Amino acid sequence: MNARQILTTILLLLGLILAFLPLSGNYSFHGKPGKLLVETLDENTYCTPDQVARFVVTEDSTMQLIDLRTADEFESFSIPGAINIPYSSMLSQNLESYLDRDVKNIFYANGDYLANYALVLARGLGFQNNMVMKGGLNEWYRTVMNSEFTGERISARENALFETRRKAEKMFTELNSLPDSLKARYRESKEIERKKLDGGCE
Amino acid sequence: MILAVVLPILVLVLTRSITRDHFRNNAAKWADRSIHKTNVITAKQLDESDGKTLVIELDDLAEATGIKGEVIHIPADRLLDKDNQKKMRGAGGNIVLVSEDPALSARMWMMLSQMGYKKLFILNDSTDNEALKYKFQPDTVTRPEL
Repeated sequence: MNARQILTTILLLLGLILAFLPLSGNYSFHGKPGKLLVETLDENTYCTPDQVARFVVTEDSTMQLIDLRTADEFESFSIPGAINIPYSSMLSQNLESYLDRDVKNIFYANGDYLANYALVLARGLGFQNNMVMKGGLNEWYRTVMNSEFTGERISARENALFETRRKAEKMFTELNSLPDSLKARYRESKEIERKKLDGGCE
Repeated sequence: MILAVVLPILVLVLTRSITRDHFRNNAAKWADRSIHKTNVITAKQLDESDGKTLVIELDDLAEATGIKGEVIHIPADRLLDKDNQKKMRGAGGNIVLVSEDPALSARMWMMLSQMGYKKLFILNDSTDNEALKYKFQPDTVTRPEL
């Protein structure tokens, strides 16, 4: 091969790379839309406020709640154990640091839109183990915080359900009634625990 | 010999550029409207809008009657079928997703948006889905130890 042919081959290879690989540092969806469609229609990507209440009460370390609201809204109140990743800045953060861990991430916001946008974004970018709390905080309030039993008799199962709701409600109220400085200390201690479980340093 | 190498590459590049059944680069760009909430439209705004509208009912419970535009029923799991994609690409105006389940609308919006659909909206009534309907009442009496 002479020099011109070598140069042509190199340029062609470069062209191939430029045509097919995104050179920007931005995140882009992987894979085929058909596969993502099947994943996003999977009912197992939803969890109920009752399930989240159980995770909160048992302090289940295999779950990570991600609050997608603004920092101000999060400071005002949040579900115990949640971390705050505002949806508006989700894609400008280092996603691997909070999505690529060996836990199930549960997105929530006030309603359904933000959490479900976030779920599709996470899945499309290749992060598995993501779910949403159906109905968001509105449903959390309706189901857990404002829970009332109105029947005459309660079954053992219903009793267990209401017990969990009561405990979750109590934890929610206690945490969010703390002064801001104590709330910050609580969240810091949770972050340290999380890092310990990840094998990180304090 | 150079042509033999260039032509297949050219065909591959053109195929990738022309075919629509893949995701676009830069997820943040295609998700931007969801951050600014400009992807949600009410029936009133739809009535006031110019141009053609294709309304897609995503589930059996969705009711798009009385809404301006051509209404078709495409179950969410069939959205990516070739014929349906052809209808959507050929819409030539706004495409509005309607569903009883706001979670489903949101998911389909994000997925289709990442495939390059620009004039894509979710139909909502005047209620802001992300507005909090409850007020937190702090307990100012007890002070638990941390």
